[in-house]
Amino acid sequence: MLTLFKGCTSTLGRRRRGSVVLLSWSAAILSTALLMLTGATSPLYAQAGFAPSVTSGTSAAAATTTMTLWTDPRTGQVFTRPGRGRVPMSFAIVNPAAQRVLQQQLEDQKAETARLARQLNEQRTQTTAVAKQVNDITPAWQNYVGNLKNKVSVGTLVWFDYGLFTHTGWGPQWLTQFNAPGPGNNMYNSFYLNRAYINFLFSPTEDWTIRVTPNIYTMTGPTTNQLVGRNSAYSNSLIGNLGYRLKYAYLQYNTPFKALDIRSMAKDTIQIGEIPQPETAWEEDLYGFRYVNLTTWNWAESSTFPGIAIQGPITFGPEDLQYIDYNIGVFNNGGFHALELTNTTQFQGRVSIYPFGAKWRFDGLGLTSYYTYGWNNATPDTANLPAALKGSSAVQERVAEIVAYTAETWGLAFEYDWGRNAWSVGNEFSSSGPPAAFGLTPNLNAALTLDQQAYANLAGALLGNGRAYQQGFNFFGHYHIPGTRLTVFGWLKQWNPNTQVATNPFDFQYFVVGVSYQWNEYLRFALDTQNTLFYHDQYNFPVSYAKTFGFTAPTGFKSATIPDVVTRDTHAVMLNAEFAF
Amino acid sequence: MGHSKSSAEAKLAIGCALAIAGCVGIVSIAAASSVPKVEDCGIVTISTPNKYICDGKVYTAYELQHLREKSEQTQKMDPRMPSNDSQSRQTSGSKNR
Repeated sequence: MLTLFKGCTSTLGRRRRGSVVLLSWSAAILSTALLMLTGATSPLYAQAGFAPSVTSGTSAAAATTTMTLWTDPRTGQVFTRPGRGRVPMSFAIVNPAAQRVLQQQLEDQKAETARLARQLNEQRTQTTAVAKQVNDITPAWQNYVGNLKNKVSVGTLVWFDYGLFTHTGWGPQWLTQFNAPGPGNNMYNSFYLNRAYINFLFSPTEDWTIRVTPNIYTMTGPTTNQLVGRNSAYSNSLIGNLGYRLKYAYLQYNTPFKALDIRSMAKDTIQIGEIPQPETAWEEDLYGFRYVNLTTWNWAESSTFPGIAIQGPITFGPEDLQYIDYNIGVFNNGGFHALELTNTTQFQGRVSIYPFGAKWRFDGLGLTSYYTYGWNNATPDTANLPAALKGSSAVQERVAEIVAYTAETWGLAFEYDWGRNAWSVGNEFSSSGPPAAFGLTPNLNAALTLDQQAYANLAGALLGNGRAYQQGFNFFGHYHIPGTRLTVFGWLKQWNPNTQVATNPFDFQYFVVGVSYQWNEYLRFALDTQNTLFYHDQYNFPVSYAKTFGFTAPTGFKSATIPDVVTRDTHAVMLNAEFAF
Repeated sequence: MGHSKSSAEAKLAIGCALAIAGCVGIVSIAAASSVPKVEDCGIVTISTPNKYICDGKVYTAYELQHLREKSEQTQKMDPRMPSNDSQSRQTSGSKNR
């Protein structure tokens, strides 16, 4: 700069004296520029003098100062002082301190921006994580709903049949919800709906299953016409309606022994609630044609009781063959559709032995024993009354001994039954019976009415005196005809409801012969003949002998014998259908 | 000579293919006939679901239905295969099951 200054002055020095003023102003401009570059904040010269003016602004713009120069618009020259024709021009000069403040503010802004950017990134990361969690939750829900199908089962069991009774008579039911009128109604025929289970099973885990099964029942009862107001009535009759009642409702613990690591009993279960008793359901599956006829003890005993039971196979050996299958429990004395009246409970147990080992439930030779011990369903104050004959308050026992051989396509079984106070008038006439046995008056002349009353009283004495012993024999079996959908089956039964009676008019035989057609995995049909035979020859029962069993003659009955005590046989042809899903 | 050699090779290849196809057919026939049929099975339990024993194995009714329908489907696709149904003359009945 000094060299330039000297150069400028030496050049201009050779000019004339009037030009020295111009040289001085050039130097002044140059000096001012130099000072601007060095960032001097104080005015260089007074404004009124011959130098550019520099002023400080307001506090808001205290970081800036203003420098004023003058310019000649005609020539474009810039001067450091005002003059004629010259216009001022001002420049804002940022002073260093302000510049530093501004710089700091800028840095602070940058930092804040960076912080906000980081915060935004963090939020984005969190949002991504939350979205991932939500996405993870949704499949788990879908997975639960999808797996629900493996936890819930809904099924049905429907039995429907048509019966043509070529010969009607009094006697026991062949199927539940099945009633046919007595003697004098030959060729009676009817469609029947015997069963309509809806099975609900829920297994929230492998350890627990809940079952609820409603089933139909036939409503029978007196007409219950209703008087309405003073002079109106509504008719009402329950009889014949099919209602729904609860058949099964229980909780099943599937793995009590698995938890104990007892491998032989890993499949055993514990049931509590309204549960199948140990024998009937098992024998129904053994027979395979329950949709055609009841099994023996089910004629007299309910298949279901409130109670608790433990059951299952016991297996041994490397092939896990079943050698024992058992079911034992404690139950109410009243069945599932009766009020419990006793202050006791009954024991029931079944044990099936497979001496050669069974690959599946009934495989091969099986030896089964069934035993129950309980009481007839009566209140204690009734049961404890002193009486020579306990009648309906007596202790009750049942035994069944079954030898069976079962293969995949055929089966044969023999059953011996014994009972003690296990058969009643109601069982003997569960399909239909003489009105007098039900406390009703028949539509007969007086003499016949009296005879029927005597007959009913005889039934009560022989069958329900509290000292009656039952005995029965069964053969049953089936055979699948190879290459066809047909299976022939049969059931033959001999039943003595009280072996204490020398010639018991209520003894009977019952047999079924039929053929079944398997339509598909769920549906099958059977055509069969069913027959109840009161096989003793007709005779008159001595009143004196009847009295040894507690017989009481009805009022006005004077005869020494009760006439025609062997009732008529019942014969029918049935067409049965089963839909099981 | 090359022509006759390639011709022989072709014949050999065709023969092997036919043999293999025949073997496949035999295997397929065997597979079809091994499908268990409910009418040939014993009852294990009538419940929800029904269970049957067939050739030493326990099946549910659903499983037997599925196997049957699969077998019927296979037969529809290849009519040359023998029917698995012992009453194949009553095809209308089987379809309507």
